[in-house]
Amino acid sequence: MWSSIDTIHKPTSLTEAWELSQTPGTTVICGGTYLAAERDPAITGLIPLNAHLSHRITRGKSTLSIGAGVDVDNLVSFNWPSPFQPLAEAARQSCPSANIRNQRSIGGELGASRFNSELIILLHALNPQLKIVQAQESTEYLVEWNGDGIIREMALEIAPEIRMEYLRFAPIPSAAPFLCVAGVTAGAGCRIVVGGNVNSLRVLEFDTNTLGVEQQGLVLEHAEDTLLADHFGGVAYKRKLLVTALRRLGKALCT
Amino acid sequence: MHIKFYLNGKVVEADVPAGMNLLEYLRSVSVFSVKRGCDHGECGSCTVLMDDKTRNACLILMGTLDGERIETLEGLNADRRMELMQAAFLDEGAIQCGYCTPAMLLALESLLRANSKPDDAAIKAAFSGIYCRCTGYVKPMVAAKKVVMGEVDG
Ligand code: FES
Ligand code: FES
Repeated sequence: MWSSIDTIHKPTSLTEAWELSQTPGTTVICGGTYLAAERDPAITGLIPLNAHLSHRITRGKSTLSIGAGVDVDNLVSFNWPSPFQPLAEAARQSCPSANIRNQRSIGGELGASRFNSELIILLHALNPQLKIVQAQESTEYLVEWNGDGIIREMALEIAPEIRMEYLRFAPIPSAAPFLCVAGVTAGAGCRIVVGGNVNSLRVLEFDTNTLGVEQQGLVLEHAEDTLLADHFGGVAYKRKLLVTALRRLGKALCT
Repeated sequence: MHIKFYLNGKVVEADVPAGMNLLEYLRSVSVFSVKRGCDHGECGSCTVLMDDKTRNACLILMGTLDGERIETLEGLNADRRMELMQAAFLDEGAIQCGYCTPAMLLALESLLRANSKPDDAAIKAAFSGIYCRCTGYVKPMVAAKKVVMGEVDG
């Protein structure tokens, strides 16, 4: 029992849901796997969003539009066009339980923005556009989004020259990675993201589509202070692992 | 709050506290195949089917359930495929303490609704949301494969 909950609202639109969510003690809920497990006693009102979100992935000429209600399992089973196939495996690894994958939505995942989620880390490297509902609807890139508002849709641009890779380090396949590095090259640029057991995701962009020694050094410099010590190893060990990861990622993105 | 949903094909209307979850509700109405394990979405022993897919009942709030279709083992016991699955689990010794078994059976049922000839990887993926602390999953895998291959003596 989540005993502090006294009201479950029934908004008629996402805009109304957002307005309701401005009341202290009230929060939006989609799949509910984080909120219902945590049962924060400070929350007294919930605003379910499911009825107002699209649960479909639509392929346009140059974009893939993913409704915020699409569940993580749909991301695993979706027939991704090239070059987006790694998203399926990232979605599966980010949530190893099939039950939870069926319950979690992409909108909720983006909202929760777990630093050790392969899916979130890879999506930051891809930097899709988000349609955000507040008093008005706006479009923002994921990397720039400050977390305010309700995500209605995520749009990925389909460009054949995109390449993406991610590497994860975890004691067993079903454990969350304590270090995960993702890279995307597109056109003449690349974006590298460092996540895992970290203080915050680190995102670096370069005006070159290779992750060479110079860029690897810059990523290391920018990301090493985000690494956290844990029972898998200290910061010095994680730093060495990050060097290895960047070297491997550099090779993978070039070949 | 007042809610209306479908449980094992029957309409249910109930007045429930807003923060009650489906696991608590089901056990309060004697649907005991749905087990309480962790109560936090980790173990899968509270698995139910919602629109044919497995979900953890401890994470579903009753107030968000309006109009949804929920199934538990109680609603499937008379089903021929479930009878064969249960026989296969017994024949293969895939049940030890049995705490996870209703969830395993629902996971297999959900898989077979979507894919009548799943391979080993698909069966493993279907069981991935359920902790079994007794069997090591070896015998449930054997039982599931017997069902898929139509080799259950029944
Ligand atoms: S009791 Fe629900 S997942 Fe453990
Ligand atoms: S048979 Fe005991 S937990 Fe699975």
